[in-house]
Amino acid sequence: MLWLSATVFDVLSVILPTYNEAENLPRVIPEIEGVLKDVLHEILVVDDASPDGTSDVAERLSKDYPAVRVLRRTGERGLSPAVADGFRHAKGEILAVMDADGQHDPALLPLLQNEIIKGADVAIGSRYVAGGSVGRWNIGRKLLSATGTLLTRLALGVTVRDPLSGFFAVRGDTARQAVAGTSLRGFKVLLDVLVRLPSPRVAEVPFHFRTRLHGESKLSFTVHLAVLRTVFPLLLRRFGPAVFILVCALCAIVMLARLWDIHPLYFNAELRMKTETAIRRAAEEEGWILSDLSIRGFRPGMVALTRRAHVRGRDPVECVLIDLATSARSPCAGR
Amino acid sequence: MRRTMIPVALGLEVYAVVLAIIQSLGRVRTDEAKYLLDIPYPHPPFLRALMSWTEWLPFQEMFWRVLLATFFIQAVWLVWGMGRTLPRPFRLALCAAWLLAGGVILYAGSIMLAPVNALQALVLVWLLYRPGIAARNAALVGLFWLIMLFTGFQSVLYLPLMIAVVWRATRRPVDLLLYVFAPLGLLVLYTLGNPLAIASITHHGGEDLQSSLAFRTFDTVRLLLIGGSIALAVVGTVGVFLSRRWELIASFALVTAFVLLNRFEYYAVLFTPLLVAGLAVVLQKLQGNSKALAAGFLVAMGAGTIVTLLLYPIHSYGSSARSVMRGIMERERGGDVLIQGKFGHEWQYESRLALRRFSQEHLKDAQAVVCLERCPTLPLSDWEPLGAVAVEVWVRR
Repeated sequence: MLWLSATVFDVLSVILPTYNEAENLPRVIPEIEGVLKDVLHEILVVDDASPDGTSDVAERLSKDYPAVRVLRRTGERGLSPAVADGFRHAKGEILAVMDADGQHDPALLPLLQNEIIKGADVAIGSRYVAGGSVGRWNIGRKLLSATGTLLTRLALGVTVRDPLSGFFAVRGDTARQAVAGTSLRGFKVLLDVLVRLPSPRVAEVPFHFRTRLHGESKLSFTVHLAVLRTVFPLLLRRFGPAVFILVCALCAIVMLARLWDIHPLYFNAELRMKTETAIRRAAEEEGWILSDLSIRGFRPGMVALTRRAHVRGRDPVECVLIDLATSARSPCAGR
Repeated sequence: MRRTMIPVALGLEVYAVVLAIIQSLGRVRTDEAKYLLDIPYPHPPFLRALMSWTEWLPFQEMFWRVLLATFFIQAVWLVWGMGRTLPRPFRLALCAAWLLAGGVILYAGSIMLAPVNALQALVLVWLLYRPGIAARNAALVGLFWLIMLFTGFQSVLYLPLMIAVVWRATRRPVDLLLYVFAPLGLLVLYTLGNPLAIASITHHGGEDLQSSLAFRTFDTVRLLLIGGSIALAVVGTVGVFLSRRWELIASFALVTAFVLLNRFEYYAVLFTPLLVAGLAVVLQKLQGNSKALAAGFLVAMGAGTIVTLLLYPIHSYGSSARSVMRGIMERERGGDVLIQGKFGHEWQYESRLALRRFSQEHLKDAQAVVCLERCPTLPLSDWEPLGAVAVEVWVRR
């Protein structure tokens, strides 16, 4: 078992953000140690002042597993800030993040490390590539996850099939650059990291999401809302200009069509005068309210009007043709 | 601060509802009826189309009064955000200025487009203080401007604010073209496609051409003082010019010129967001005991508000349309309702029956004749008067 006392190239730092995982750590840490026995590594437990004594359990485990270090946080709670602290305190050049509840198989760690060594900026344990799966999730959780993943992929503009995965590895300098000067928020750390990196090289390795060993999931409706709060501004920034142009273009098409219908009014003063006279005369004779009338268009010697009698509820609507010479009225239908 | 937010917001909401109720005492005004029924002239369609989708609500009028009053009063949180760098007493004074401004008290809860445009202008003023938000959401700001333009033509008066918001956020001429001037181009297209709107605006604007410049100026100053409850009007105007920010001065000039030409009472509110921006500038420059200065301003603001409301109370419109139309509809007869004389759109609003102007030719198909001016004599064999209504109404036997 190798452990380190100074920064060494290609040393893997496994960051375990924890909150109330005292029951799970005694299974998870030995499992990680078993997988990484031939790899230079450290395991950094970053604990958010768990009331169940998780950090004490981690300290006890560090006596048997010297690669384990404990970082006790007292500041702002949250997964992303905890991981960011882990990035800052980790000594390795490759940083892996995984859950401490047993849902992530540590056997993937060497594979993720290998992808970083081969040149990727971020290597993701992916549930949504061939060979991966979400395990025994109910239909509701599958749907929520799939929707969030789809929106995130659209927002990021990066070809990543599982941008919301909590199991990933990243180059140390890339990770520290991502957290420098800003505070990560929210629950989906990888998303926060990907957002901050310009055009990252991403590799995805399939894995099967396992069932939690002990305790309750921290994935709640609030967390999903937090993801949406991160994703929607990204979607807006990426697609906003295009959507705006589309909206304006559609409005322009509708308005130009309308303008085409009535354009003779603007080029023919005599027509303008006759139209006004005919409409006013018709309104006076029929008792119409002028604001109920709008010009639909022109036919030879005639103007077509829509009369919408504005009342509470359904407005009676009719189309009326008015002869510009005689002001005779007739319905539009069939003409 | 966060713990007090909910009780404060609830308190503000009570204030908003009270203002809405006060507005409702005057019944639906003719302009309000135009928007509630989506009558097209003269303004563009966005807000009135939204309003018309709620025509099926029996409480449509109250719904929109409360909703618009809520937006107006809760907009104080934007004003609070504008005062981020001010000492707390000044920040509170800025918020109080918005809540006590004549433009807000007199028109929050009304269903008019000028107050909505003024409220939208406040959002633009707030964005001037938050260029980061505008930069990250330029497309959304552009969409907001498009909606603002298609709410009411008065929004064009705040074009300088919008130019400044986008330019400060992105510094790219292409963004100005896209997010500021493209929507303006669409508004021009819309207007050209609705020539009766142009005719309506021209007619509306030409109604008062005979007034002298001196009278117009006096009336404009009067509306400015109403919009700012005197104290805010004075300090805010000074602040607008003290700011040396071209967008505030230009918008102020445009609003002033507009009001000079069309001195309708509700245009007083168009000044209010600019005055609040001006006040923020003055408070930024003030030095000394912030508590004492803020207290002094609040006293002046309170006194100005009382004077403004005493001189120009919220109008009780007093149309008899509701009671008359209710009386007619209770008879549950078919046929049009004819109206003799000039009438406002509130008659259409209060009616579920089609209305026509009175003419003898249409008498045979009518079920009721409302005489707002002297009616011709109707044959008593076919017609009888409708009792217990404020105007002369004849209904078919």
